[in-house]
Amino acid sequence: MRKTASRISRRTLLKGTGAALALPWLDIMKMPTDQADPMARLKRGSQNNRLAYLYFPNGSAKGSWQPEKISPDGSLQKLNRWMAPLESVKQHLLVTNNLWTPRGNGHGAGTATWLTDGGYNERKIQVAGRSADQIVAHRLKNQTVLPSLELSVKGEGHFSGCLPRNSISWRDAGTPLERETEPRSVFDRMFRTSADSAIDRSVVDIVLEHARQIKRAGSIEDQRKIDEYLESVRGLEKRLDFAEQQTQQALDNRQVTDTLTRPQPGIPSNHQAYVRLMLDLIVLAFWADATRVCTFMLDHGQSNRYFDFIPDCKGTWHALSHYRDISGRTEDDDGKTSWNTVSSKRDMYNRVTRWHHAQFAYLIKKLHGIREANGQTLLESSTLCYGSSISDGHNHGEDNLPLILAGYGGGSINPGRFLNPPRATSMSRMHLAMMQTMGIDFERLGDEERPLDLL
Amino acid sequence: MQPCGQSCQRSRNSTVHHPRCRVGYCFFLLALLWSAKALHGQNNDTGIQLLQSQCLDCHTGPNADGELDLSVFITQRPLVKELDTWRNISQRIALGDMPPADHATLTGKQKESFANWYTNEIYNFDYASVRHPGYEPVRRLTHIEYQNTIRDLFKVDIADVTKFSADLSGRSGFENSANTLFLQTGLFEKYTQSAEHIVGRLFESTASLPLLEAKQKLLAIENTQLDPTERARVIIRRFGDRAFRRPIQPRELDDLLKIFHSAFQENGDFDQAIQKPLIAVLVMPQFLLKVESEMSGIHPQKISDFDLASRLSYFLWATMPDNRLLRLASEGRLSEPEVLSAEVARMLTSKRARALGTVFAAQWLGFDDVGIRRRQDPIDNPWCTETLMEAMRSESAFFFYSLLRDNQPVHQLIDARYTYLNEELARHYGIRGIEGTKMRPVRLKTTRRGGILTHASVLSVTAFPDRTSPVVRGHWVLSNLLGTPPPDPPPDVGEIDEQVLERDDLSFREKVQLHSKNPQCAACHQEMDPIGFSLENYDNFGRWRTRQYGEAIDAHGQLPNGQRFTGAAGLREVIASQRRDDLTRQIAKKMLTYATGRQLEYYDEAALRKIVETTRQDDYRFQTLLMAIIESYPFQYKQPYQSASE
Repeated sequence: MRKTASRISRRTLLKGTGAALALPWLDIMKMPTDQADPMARLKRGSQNNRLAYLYFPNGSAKGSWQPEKISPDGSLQKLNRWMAPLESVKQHLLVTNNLWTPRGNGHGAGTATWLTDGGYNERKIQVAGRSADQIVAHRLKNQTVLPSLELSVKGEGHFSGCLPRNSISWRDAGTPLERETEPRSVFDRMFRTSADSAIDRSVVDIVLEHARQIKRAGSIEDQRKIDEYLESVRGLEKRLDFAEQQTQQALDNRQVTDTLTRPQPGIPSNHQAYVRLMLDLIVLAFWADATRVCTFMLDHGQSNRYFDFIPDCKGTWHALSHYRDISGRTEDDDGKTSWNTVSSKRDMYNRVTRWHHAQFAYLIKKLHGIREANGQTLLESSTLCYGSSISDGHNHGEDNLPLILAGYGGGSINPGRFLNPPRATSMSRMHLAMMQTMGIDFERLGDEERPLDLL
Repeated sequence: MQPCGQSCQRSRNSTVHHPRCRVGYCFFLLALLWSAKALHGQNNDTGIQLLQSQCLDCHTGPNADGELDLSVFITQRPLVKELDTWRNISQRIALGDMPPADHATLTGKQKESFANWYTNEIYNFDYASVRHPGYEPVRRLTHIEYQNTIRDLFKVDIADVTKFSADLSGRSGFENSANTLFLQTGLFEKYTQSAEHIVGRLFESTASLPLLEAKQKLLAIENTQLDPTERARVIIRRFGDRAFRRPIQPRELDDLLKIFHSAFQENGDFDQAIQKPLIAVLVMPQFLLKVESEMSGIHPQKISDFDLASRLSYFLWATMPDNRLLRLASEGRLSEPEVLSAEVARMLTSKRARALGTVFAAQWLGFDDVGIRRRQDPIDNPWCTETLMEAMRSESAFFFYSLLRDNQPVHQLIDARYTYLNEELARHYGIRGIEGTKMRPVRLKTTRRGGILTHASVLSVTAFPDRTSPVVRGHWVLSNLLGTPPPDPPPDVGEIDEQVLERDDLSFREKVQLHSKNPQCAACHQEMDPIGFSLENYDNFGRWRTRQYGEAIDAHGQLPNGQRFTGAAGLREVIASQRRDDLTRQIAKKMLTYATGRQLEYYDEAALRKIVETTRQDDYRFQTLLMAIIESYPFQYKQPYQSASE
């Protein structure tokens, strides 16, 4: 674990106002755009870096992911109108081309296997194995209070209860990780102290002891379930340890307890406020070093959410993604909305994608606005992957997935470029490269052994 | 239910395998059988050979088409292990769907011999020769079960599970499947918060009357002379006996008393100190998980009476056993046949048994989606109120439960002449003379209503949001209600072509028929579409109509066998008379799945067939079916872990 002193000093700066967690902007934290060469300070991949995957469903219309202008050396000169919100941060991006997943595609299987490679067995509820984010989380599990953080916006409409469409992180082939949807719960996972809890060490010890007894008497299948239980309790135990430590330190520094404010309970009704609050919590988690691995599903794998709050946008996201069908009469249409032309519908689809770009840009800027004790900004020590498991939403394409990497991975990534590997390059090679930015040399994911070169 | 759409409703697998010794035994038997047949010159490899010669080109290896590796599949022993897949293979071969036309075409004779082989070797396999009761691994309570269990434990409905991240479901369609119930730190933390919240509220000085009563019951002590430790012992033992659904063990009691002790020594306040062990109980695995008693040996054994009490109560009530069940279990009498059937009869008359409608039937038939995933915009449709949608769910839940409680024949599910209504729902149906908000049984004079197929709940979950789909309804009846799903459509066949949809010269029915005439589609649509068309008099929210798109509705149907029928009344008649056994089997299959909390496997086939046969012989009485499930081998027995985990 990092030195607590630096964590506390960062936390002293936290402020909360109502439902929004406002992270402060101080002089010392301003964007280092004036730095002559930020790369010079940075080193190669390290376990102290941070890793995040941001998933969005329903793909992106063909062509909307292609930068408009790329210089001969591959650097990004101009994105395109649909990627406009990312224009101002393009120096931090690797826009990819030609990545795909050879197996396990579509809304269900594609979501479940986005980070695992291989196929999805619906009958057994099984993917090929542990997902990329969990491979990293597992290696770093003793370094932070939470091995990883799994977030999602609360599902709306059909398929909200469907397992594969809600599961990108897998602890093993048969165990998807549950995802937090309420901002307050996320905050509590990191900062709830044992002071207000009756569940202290004596209770935890007894609970663990009895679980072990049950485990000894159980079958292998039982043991798997009890292990799950044991691990969930140990997760709590670890957090209590952390909280005890914290409490002691907080006594020395009253300011800490005064400035840590929990978000309001419940789900903010404004979707943008909701998503940004969740992104703030990712920044907070990385900043406080509560975890170094985070995944965030910006919606479940076949989202039917309305984005009517975006000007000139009507109909549900999934319906919009099938933009060639303008009758309004497919299964996921609402029966009220129809469109005049394919291009007007596609524009609406693109507006939804563009709205998500704006949220991603928000995260990039926030991370780059915070400087750590080692002189790097959080973005410089982070590797972010943002994208979908479907390429063109209308025909459920699986080639050339919309994927963008952002950040510097502590110097192991050289962004600002168009990353253009040969056609049909497995996304697993990207996962392997991302693991390397986390200082982890993983031999093989699926059929792939060669990480992509991100430098 | 239907959380994952139609493709999600098929089976899921438990990771249970054959005990090694049995596999060996089976191999031995099979080998004997094969050699015997070979001696007599019979070739029972016809099907395998056909698959080998015609299908392996595409269906081999890790990247096999359709993720079906037949080269491995045909080596499974026993061969019948994955029944659903076999059924699909035989359907596709019969339809001529597989192998695809550009690859090979089977002759009529080849198809026929494959069909014969399938009937002999797969369908008529001697399932009774496989004695395996299955294994139900430890799993946590579902959120519904948790809420109900807390309610019955404290006698006050005090748990708030809305903060728990939602239970997801896979292919079984039920939330109580062991392989979709996970417990991770996030949820565990919520369990701890919930436990503190529940106990904390009981001890609040400003607690309401029901809470005060609940607290009194919790702390009641007959002998007021006891010292604090002895009082705590009495309270914790009584609480633990119920919370763990079996007698609390001395070790458990001691550990919990220790917690009480250290808290009591700290502040000397009994009410404060007793809270802590109570909270601890609510986060212990014995409470949160369904743990059955330990078994030894390698042969299947009857489950204990306490395990039987829990299986029964979570099946029929979706909650913990009551004191009477626990007492009978402690006396070792619950498993006595007369006691068991008397208890089941008693349980069915309890209010808690409504869970069979609100949980089991709602998840099976999918009407728990009404009001959540199935709703109409309230501004454009002011008639579509929350209370109406609640009445729609209640109608079906009450109705289903009443069939069991009143021991009706199972086909009454389809052709009952009564239902449950309140004023708003009756108005929705165009039925007069029902007043007030209370749901009540109503004898139906009209033939327009009656049976689950005419319930607004089912009619809305089988329609598109804006229009009805005869195909979706037909498919739903065949797959979900009768358990005989047509195979998935071949790839690249979409919905009705837009150009066809927009033609003015065709009626809606003609458009659907045009689509279904495509030879690739015809075979299955001939079966699905007439069923759907006969329900066209009901709109996408179950309202009666006689016209659609300006045309009079034609609700005639003709089945592939030539039988003609009209409207829902005709369909009811056809199903209740000709598909009665399919319906019974499907109800039995779904109930046994839900009762065991796992997907059924090939080794459950014999039990399933026996349940159906028993029910058939007793005029299809619903309680007979229920008792047959409760008395069945998978429900009463369990494979000990040493051999189950092979």
